[in-house]
Amino acid sequence: MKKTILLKAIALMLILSSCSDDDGENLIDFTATFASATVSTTEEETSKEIVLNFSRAASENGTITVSYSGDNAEYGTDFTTSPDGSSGTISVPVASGNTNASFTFNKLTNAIEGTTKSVTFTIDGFSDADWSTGSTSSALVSYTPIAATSGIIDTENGGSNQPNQVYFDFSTGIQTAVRRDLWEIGLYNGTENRVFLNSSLSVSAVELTGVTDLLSVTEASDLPEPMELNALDAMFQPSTVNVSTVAELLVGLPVGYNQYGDLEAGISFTDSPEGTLEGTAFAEISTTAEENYVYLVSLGKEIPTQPAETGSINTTGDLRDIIKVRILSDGNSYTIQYADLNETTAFSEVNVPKDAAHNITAFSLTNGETVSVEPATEEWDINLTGVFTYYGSQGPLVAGLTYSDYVVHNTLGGVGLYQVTIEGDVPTYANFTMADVDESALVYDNRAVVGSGWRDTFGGVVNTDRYYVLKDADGNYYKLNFTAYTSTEGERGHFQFTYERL
Amino acid sequence: MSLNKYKGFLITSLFICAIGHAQEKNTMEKDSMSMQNLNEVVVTGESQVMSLSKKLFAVGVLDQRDIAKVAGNNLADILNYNLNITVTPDPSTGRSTISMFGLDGQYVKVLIDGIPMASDNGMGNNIDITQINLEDVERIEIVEGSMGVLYGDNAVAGVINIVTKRGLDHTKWQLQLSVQEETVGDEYEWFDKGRHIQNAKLSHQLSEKTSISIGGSRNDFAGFHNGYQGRNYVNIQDNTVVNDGLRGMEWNPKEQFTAFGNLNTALGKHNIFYKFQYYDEAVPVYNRNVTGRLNSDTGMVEPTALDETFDTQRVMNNLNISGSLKGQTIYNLSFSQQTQKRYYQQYVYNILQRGIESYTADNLSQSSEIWYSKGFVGNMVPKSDFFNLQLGYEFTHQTGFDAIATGEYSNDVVENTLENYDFFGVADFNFSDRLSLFPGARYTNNSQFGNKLIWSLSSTYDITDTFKVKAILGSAFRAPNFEELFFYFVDSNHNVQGNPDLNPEDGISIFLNLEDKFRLGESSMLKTAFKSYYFDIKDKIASVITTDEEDRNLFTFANVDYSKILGFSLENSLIMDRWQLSLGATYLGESTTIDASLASNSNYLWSFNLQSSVGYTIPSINTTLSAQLKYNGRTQVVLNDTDGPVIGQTDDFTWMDASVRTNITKNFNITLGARNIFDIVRVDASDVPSGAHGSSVSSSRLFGNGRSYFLKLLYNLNFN
Repeated sequence: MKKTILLKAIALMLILSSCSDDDGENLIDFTATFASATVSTTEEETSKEIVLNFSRAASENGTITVSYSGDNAEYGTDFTTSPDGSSGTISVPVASGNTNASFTFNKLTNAIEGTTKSVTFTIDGFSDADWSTGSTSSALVSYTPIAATSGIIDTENGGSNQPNQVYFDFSTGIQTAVRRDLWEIGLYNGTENRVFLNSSLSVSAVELTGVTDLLSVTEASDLPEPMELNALDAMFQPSTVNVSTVAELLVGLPVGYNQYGDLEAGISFTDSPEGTLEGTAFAEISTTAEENYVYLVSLGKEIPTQPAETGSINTTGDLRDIIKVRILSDGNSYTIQYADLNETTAFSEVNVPKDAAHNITAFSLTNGETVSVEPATEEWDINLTGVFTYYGSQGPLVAGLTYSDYVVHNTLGGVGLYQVTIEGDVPTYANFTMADVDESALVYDNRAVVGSGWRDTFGGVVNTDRYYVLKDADGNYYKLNFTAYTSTEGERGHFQFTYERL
Repeated sequence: MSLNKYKGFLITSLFICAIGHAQEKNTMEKDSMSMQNLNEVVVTGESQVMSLSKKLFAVGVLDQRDIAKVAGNNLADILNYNLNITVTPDPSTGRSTISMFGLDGQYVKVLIDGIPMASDNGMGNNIDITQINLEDVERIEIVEGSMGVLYGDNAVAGVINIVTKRGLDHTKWQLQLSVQEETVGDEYEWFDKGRHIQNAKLSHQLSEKTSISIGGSRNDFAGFHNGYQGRNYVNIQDNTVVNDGLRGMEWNPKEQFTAFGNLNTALGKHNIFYKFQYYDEAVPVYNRNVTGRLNSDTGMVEPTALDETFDTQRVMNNLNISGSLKGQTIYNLSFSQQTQKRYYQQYVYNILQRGIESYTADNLSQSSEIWYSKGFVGNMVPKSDFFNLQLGYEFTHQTGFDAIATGEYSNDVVENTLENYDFFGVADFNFSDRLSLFPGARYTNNSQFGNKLIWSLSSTYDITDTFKVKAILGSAFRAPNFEELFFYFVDSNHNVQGNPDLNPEDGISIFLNLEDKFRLGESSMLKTAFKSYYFDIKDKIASVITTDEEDRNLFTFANVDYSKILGFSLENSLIMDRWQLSLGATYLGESTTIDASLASNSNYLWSFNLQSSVGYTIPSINTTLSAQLKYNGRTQVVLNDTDGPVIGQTDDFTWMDASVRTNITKNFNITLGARNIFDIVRVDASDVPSGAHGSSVSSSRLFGNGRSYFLKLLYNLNFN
């Protein structure tokens, strides 16, 4: 009998020790929640997409029932929805595999000045009994703008190719995403006549000092004077090169490790990272035409379309063309003359008047027209450029550098910003108040204070030892803290930051 | 992996228990009869596969007693103590590979009953030895020396053959159940920490000539934390995730399940053996970094991590037919079909909710299918004492892809096919009773690199009946592996490509073995063996940096290195009454020429290893005490640094295990022991390869998980 007991004991142990705590293997509960508890509309907006976010991708198709109640707003008179909600509820379809669903709110009238007008949407039920409502069960859609005092922003830089640069305005909470490759040069609208390059597209330019005849220059031309420039050799060691022809110069024009330059002599084919007027690759445009020389402009690098592997980026693609440009100004407008490098018979000419509402007017040398890129000067505080390039030093090396995840602030528009590094008795982000603001620390002459230092791509983390304080042109103070540079799926180019008005 | 998956296995075990209980009464009466019956059963086949090897080569054997001493569940548990073998674990993937005589796993072939095992991207070589379960193993044969003629490419340092247990000796039925609980270092919990093993096996002798066996084994290694805080750890301060790098594990967990069965039957002069094996392994990899995105509604941080799971499944069908053709002439035919698949999952794990949010990858990342056959005819001239001949063929057809070995962006992720047709022959010249010479050659035709010749010349000379000398001279032939041929990773920052034009490595190996036995008294015996070996490998494949057509730096592989290994070892084993003692030492030197440039030619870099074991049996209480020790001396390698070659080294360290094994009753025994008594975790090393970006300069190598204790309960029921 003893044998039997042992046998049973072992059988029991076999069973017991075969089990393990496997709860974690199951999917988390499916919940749906409004992406935002309040949605404001401007007078111009006639429709608004209302988004429901899920806790995870839906594993099957279904519907979410949403009910509504209006404050001075009637269905059919003041608003409609799509899908149709005339029955009193809206059936929002959920597709398997999606992580969100949405419906459209169509505004038929506007609010009368001095009265409130809004619609509140509430999650009312699900086609699947296992689904449930998350943290935000209703969303109030206002017919008038609501001022933002804080927010969590998921930027629209667009993923591992970082195709977009994103302008953000703290006081309105509006982000404006613009493709990086819409423009190559930016014409300054202030009193000085200056031309910026699109640093987010690796655009670079070199002056052919003394040459004023645009059509006389081709790839075969000699330079008016030979130049001695710094470069890096194949083993990344500093060396010097002597260039005497256009063809030789073009080798070192595009942004890259073998870009030529000489910072001590003030020669850089890119704008300075600080973004000052004095730091542009173009010399100040003179109102005397003969003082404005021909420039060779590398139109930068294409935005690749193939996504990078998880945790990695693919932001710089094939090199775009090199063209020749000459820019003139009468003080109130710019005249841009440009042609393909080897064109000798005719060039294009476009006149662009200064526009006082914007810092710069973006211009596309590929399409020959101005492009709407920057919001008006007062309507943006920071620009999450994604890619950012300049000729400068990285450790002991001086080269054309390409950064990703870059952030600059609107120094030309009078925005100041400084970094708070948490050490000693410096308050944490959560504890930082108006009383802690150090007015003198605000930087107005260097747009690259944030730069790419807010994240550590080698370590794969956001640097939690720092946050930023910003003062906008209207005198509002904000603190901002970056919380992510990847999506939860690990894809780069999905930044998130949180901010609060002090 | 869920419990459901194993439900079948557990129900079967319970069912088996029930049968065992019912049959119990009859056991005693029939015991004596079956003993007689079974003694008459002629065990054929099993020795023939390796018979020639034993004549020509030095063969070390680890039997079930050796396995029981260390309560070994997989091959990695027991090979640690072999003098000429070093086991190198990789904690991130959970793989353990071996090196033998200073040559890595690429030069050692692992066979199961003489048939090479499918590996991640090859056949028999570079095997993860933690995947080889020992539950149905009779013994492990370690054959030393250049075996290319008999076993094909990559059998340069030697061959490890796992021999399956067939049939029962003294009984009709045998049921074996065991459980084993182990600590991992000082970490142990009933479920989520430590190592938990369950085994069950049922064997039945159907008739004198036929036996079957089925069983299963589960090995649940919960990982080694070593200060890391596990999967559900996150450091949140002020609603912000602070990445302190403490999430995850030092060694990732691994859960293995093996099911096996075999059938052995004799038909006249012919023996048929069929073996089936299913293997499943899951290794989760927990990300050290946590993403701390805020929920835009609640404003609260939602920590997530991008975790991964590798799941490997392997199915093996082996068939072996052997017997005599005519008189003394024997034949042996093997057929094998093996598949291996590796599934890769990457998912977003929500740490606070402890569940998966979404899958970012869920696919088959590696798959291979192998058809294999080998056959030979031996003792072809049985009537001649002077001359004899063995002739054979070997055929391998492998199709598959490996997204990891070839890189994510490879065009060659599409299927590749490798095919080998080999013919080989070994002749015997017996000049006298004492002196024999065995020249052998193999002609190999490979679909990738064409025709090659592998050759060897062995000789044995018996100076006395016990004092024997063996010498083997042969080619050291290794075929390039999948990764070396087809790897592809090209983007704006990387340019790493395999080289499909690689040639196999070739060279010369010399192996000398002297052994003698001394009878010291009534029950004492001393066995001594001296070995010396020399490998001279030309065209060794190494990674190189060149430039491609567009003048970009290209990282690829080429036949550029040159390596020489010289070693001596002395092994002694003594059996004296109740004592078993062994003591061995090996001294090994390697000289490497990197990139075929004379400037980097190094002197021999020497290392010293020592192995010892002690066993003592107390018959009165049915107890065996044993302890074993291995000193791994400092090893040095030449590394190609930016400033030219430098010497990196791994410091010395010592393994020691001890165990007590006792039979409580005839059917029930307990093993209690300790592994890694010197508590080895990390060993200082300056030869750890830094990452592709040179950012991770680690100065130690992870070898063990600290001093661990184990308890194994084995219930063994024989009945008729």
